[in-house]
Amino acid sequence: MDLVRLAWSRLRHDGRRSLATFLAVAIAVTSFIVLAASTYTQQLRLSETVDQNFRAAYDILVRPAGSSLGLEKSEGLVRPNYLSGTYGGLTLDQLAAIRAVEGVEVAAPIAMVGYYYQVLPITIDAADLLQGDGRSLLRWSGTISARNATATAPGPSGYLYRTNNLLVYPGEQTIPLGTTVLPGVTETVDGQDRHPCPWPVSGHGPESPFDPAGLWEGGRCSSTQETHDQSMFEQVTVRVAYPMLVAAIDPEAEAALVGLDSAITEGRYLTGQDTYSRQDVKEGDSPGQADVVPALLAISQDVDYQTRIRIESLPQQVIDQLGRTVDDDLNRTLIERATPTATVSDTVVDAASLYKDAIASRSVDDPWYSGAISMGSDQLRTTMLWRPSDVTYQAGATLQPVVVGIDTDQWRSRNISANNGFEVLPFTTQDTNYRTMTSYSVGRSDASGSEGDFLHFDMVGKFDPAAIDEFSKLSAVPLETYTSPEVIGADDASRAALGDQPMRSDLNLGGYLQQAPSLLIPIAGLSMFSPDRLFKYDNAAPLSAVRVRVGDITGLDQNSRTRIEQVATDIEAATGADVDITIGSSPEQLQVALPATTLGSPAITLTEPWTRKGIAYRLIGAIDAKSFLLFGLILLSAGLTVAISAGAGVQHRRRELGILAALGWTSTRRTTSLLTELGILGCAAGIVGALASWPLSVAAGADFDWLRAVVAIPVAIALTTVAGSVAAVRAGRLQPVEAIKPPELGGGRRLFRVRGGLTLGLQRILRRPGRLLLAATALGLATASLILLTGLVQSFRGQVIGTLLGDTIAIQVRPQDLVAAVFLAILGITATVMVLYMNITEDARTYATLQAAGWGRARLTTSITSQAAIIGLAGTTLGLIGGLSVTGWLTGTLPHPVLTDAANIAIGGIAAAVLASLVPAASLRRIPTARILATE
Amino acid sequence: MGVSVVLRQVTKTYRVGDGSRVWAADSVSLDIAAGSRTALVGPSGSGKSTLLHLIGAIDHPDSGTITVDGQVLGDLAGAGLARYRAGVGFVFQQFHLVPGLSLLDNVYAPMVGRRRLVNRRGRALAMLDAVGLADRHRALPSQLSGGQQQRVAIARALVGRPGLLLADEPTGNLDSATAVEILDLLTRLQQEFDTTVVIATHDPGVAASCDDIFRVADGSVTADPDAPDRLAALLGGPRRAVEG
Ligand SMILES: Nc1ncnc2c1ncn2[C@@H]1O[C@H](COP(=O)(O)OP(=O)(O)OP(=O)(O)O)[C@@H](O)[C@H]1O
Ligand SMILES: [Mg+2]
Repeated sequence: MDLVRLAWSRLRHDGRRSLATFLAVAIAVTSFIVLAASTYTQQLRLSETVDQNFRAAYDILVRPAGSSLGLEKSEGLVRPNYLSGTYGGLTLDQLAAIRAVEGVEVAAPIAMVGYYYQVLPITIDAADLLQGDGRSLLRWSGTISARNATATAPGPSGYLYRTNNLLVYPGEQTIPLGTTVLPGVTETVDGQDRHPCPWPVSGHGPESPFDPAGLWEGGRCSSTQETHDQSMFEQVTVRVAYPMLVAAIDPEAEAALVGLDSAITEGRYLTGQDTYSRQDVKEGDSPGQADVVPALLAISQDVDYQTRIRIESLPQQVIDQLGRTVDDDLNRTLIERATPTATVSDTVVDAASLYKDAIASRSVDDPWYSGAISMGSDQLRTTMLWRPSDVTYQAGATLQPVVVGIDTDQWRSRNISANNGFEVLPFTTQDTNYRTMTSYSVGRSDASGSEGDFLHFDMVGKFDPAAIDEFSKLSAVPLETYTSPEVIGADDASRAALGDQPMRSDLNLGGYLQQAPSLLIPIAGLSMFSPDRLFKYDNAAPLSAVRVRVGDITGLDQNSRTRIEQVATDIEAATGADVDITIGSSPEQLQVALPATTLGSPAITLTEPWTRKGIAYRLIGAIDAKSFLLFGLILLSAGLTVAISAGAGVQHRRRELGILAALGWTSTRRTTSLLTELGILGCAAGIVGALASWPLSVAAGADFDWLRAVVAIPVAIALTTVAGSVAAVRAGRLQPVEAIKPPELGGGRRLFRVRGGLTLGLQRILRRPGRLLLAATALGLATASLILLTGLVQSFRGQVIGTLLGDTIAIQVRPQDLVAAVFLAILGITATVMVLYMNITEDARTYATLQAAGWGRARLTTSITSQAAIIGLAGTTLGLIGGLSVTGWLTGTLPHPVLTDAANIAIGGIAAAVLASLVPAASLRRIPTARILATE
Repeated sequence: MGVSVVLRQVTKTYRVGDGSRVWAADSVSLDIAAGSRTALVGPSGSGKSTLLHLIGAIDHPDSGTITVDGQVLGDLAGAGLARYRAGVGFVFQQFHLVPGLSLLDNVYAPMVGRRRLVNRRGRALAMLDAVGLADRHRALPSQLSGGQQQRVAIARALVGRPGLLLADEPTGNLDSATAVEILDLLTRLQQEFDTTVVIATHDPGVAASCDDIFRVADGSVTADPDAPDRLAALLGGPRRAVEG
């Protein structure tokens, strides 16, 4: 009781000194609570972010053995376009084996079948444009553009001619109805025969699908005297070859994996019973068979391909020249060279809207889909399939896809009428290519040799790719079945070239980016393909990939992880396929450099979201490690500040303890008394600190936990007393007489003559190397912990940044790191100020004497700031050495930014020490000179 | 009951800044009889305070033994040492009051934990009263003059009724009237409890009031049996003149 009373009395009467310790401890407690709360909150939130985002559409990706790139294997990546070049490789038996693996919840196969071209006509009715009651001539020309109109190519061109004369078909008097090809018609102008629409001269066919000669579509002629419907001769028609990618899925598995069934917008979903059927089709002389397979149609496609059609009216003198001889070439030259009088129509049609309007907007019940299957119609069908190869990359920091040449033979058509022996193709097909093409054409190889077969898609339903279950963007895995990878410009120039839009497919099958499938067919239908039937290819291993989801995954916990790894191992053992664990992965932007292209697109650099595997686990690990280290750092800093403050509290009790020892107090009693005092102080400071930490935690964006704050109070008491007891025991060991003596008599060595403030300061600080070391340690710790913090932050960023999830985390982490830095700095400065304050308290007698002897305030202040400067130098040196070596040891590297930061922190540390010393220096002003000289 | 103090070959040196040694006590041998009053006189820096510190066991000699009431101080440690110090009243030359404690608490301090003493607060107040500062018992040492502080220091030294009182310049800061009062107080106490008193002093009057006077010079002590008489003669009065 006595001890508590006396302790309280001393605290009360020795207010200023107690206050300093009290404040320092309170600051330490506050900082500790805020930092702990902030660190804890950060860890919690980050882990939550990771936890919420760790799961994507599938957990494990199984691909044909050898189909993954070396780059993927060596870097722990999965490329985003793994399906685009993979046409089979896994067998249905392998799929069954995967499904048999214990723990596999869903195994959704996907089989890429190939592309065919759906020819979609763009028709512009020009009847109204063919004005005048005399003769009129319109020239039309198409221009193709893609990739934000950076790639352009000339499209087809031709002309429309209308006359008020009678048009005479050779050998006939009128134009026969239903004629699709106009022979050279004849009219009589001014008594002379004219041939305004002659046939193209034979033997003039194009050498390749891209031959400019093939672009000329000639003329269409109509007459006002004609009574039959002439609308088709009064319109411009441009055919757009739209590539339709066909893929096969397992309806049930796909529904379970991504909810494809709920993305159906019209019609029905596929069932497990859906398969192909074979129907005999006979038209004209060619009997054939159609393999009819139910299909789902994507209602929209993300492509970038425009067709511009401009129609211009030509002047009378050109009309007068037209058809003077039966020579299409002359007409062509005449028309192409003519100076138009006006542009009468200018239309741009986007392939995406063309797809929508011409295909997707039709009802499921539209006869176009569901009507009688007949050959030669424009229904969803094909006699050809193309399979582009994978892109291969040149090694390098940025991925450089290897450019390949175009083998035009792959585009030869069996349908002679199509385009002079070639397929009608997107004009971008002639642009720079990265994929080689393999074509398959229908045709039985059996004795009958019938050429009549074709593949017909029976559209049973439509699906919206955008309605596929949204998994977290942060952990997205490639879902090429529904969307193409989002590829955007990596630099300003590239972004500008792409019009700040993601790059989209330009319909070129050999291009870098591929479309998502337009048609999904049931996997059961794949059996229609066989080496001796449709497309005649080996269909033994039709599956391109199997996406697996593992059951009972509860999170990023070790159990779940082990489960997934076990499943992956089992799948690998059962199939021998390439198996990637994609759970816990996150997109990482890789740079892809595309060269300037044949059609005029500039060279651009793109970022493409590859999948960085296992990132979530790495992130969780990094977050935990960082939080742990940060917490240790905070505990150490706060503890040391408390220790130094409590030590300072004890230090100025040294003399008192000596007196009490001389009065016969046992060391136990002295220590107890001191600890009682520190306990009271620690308790009060703890409570104040806890209270203060509440608004500060909230301001720092941390979750404030009262329990943690309350727990901090006994911790503060314990820390204060423990730290104080070290000093107390040391003081207890002193001979009372040593403690009693004014410290400056205690065997100080005179190093040099004191001539002024600076030398006094140097003398004060250098004669007590122990104290210098303590102060330097305090500041050094602050410096080191800030350096360590920047190191941690750097290394953490290094570990996490690069993936979408990691980038999100790195941004989330920033405010907390700032809070930590601020409070660590405050702790360090507090400790430094306390040590300076301790020095001044001890030297009070000296200062009082000097003040009495007429020393000015400036001189005394200089003596203190010079001490602070020495402490600053010594401390930051210690801090630099300590901080950098610990950082280097912990993180394994000392990158340049950490070194720069360290230098800045060190400079800041010296400045802070000097500035902070002005606080105790100001206290000199309040030194009661006379009283000190009288009492001590 | 006073105690006897015997010093044999006691040496204490201090190392000073330039590395040389100062012999603050140089093979000092002394006998102080129980219940006697002894003066240590000598010039400043001669080693008087040092000797008192050594006898009070608040400092250790480098060599030699100090025996107080048959107890060799060098053998004491821990609680025994504390108990010994508690039994010694020490008036420091610089008073050494505890700055954070009131006068009453300062006087009370030596009795902390000594539960057997009854009415400790009363005793402390009575002691303050005896030095004439009872009405200021709530004051802090820093609020007192030097002489007042010295009186509190004496009250604190006497409150435990020590068998041995070591007073380092107890009258150094007092005017002659107060000095006489204080000496009077010491004398009464000494008679009441038969306390052995050792006083370091420059004051010939104080020295003259003592039974024995030892002359201290450069750490050496020489007994001066005639000194009291010579001093008395010097002062022109009988030996106990200052008592009254
Ligand atoms: N802690 C110490 N360190 C170094 N030297 C010391 C110490 N204490 C005392 N001395 C030296 O020992 C010698 C004796 O000192 P002491 O204080 O005993 O003298 P004193 O006789 O009491 O002097 P005064 O009459 O001035 O009080 C002196 O020279 C003093 O400088
Ligand atoms: Mg002295």
